[in-house]
Amino acid sequence: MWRVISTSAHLALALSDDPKVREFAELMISDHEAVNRAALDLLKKLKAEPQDNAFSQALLKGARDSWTRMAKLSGKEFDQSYAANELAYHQTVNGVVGGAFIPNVENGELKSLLGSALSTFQAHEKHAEHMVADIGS
Amino acid sequence: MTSSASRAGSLRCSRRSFFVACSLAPLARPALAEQATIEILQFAFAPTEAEVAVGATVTFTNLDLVPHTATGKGFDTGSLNKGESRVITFSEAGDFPYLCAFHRHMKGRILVR
Repeated sequence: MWRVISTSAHLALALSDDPKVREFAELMISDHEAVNRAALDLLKKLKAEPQDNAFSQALLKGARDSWTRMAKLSGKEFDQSYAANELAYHQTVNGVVGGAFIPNVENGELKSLLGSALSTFQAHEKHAEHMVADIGS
Repeated sequence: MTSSASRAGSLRCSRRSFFVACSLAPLARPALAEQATIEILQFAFAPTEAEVAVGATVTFTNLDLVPHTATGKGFDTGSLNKGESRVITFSEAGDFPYLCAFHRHMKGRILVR
């Protein structure tokens, strides 16, 4: 997830002049970096390795298609596409983390981390909603 | 009889004391806190509002995974990573609304009296 969000954010910083879009992109880089660091620290503590799964592979494939499409856009078209994409992405991830990951995790520390991550991503989803409304469609 | 009259007198007296105490109660303000702690958790400041005395110190502690700030007129904790705290001294009376500079929907307020 960190890879998807980070790449999209760097694309936005390269292609957008809109202060709202740039602020959101910078926030995605710093917040997801913090969540990713916490997740890696916990995995190290639990002596576990991150593994690809069907969900993460599907997310990455969808993201690659979006990056190819968005890289050809500019100005308001790009901003609208980025904002809509971030909203959809966070909605999807939050649904899966809250509905499937958290209920099925047994380790207390991992469950707690996922809960904190979910509250972070939910705040991002709300932020993305405002960004979509501000930029228009 | 004497005993009941005395008891009635005593009751009247305690009722009067009760009403006097009740009417004066709003005038007797509890002392304002000289220290307060604000926790940042799940993208919210808790408590959202704090009332403190002039010269009080307020400790902001971030318990979230991501960095936050408490930024208001004349004060700024700077970026606080998870587990970090910053102490701010409020040396003037006033109303100090603040927010997180990174997540601007997160808002709080310090009332200094």
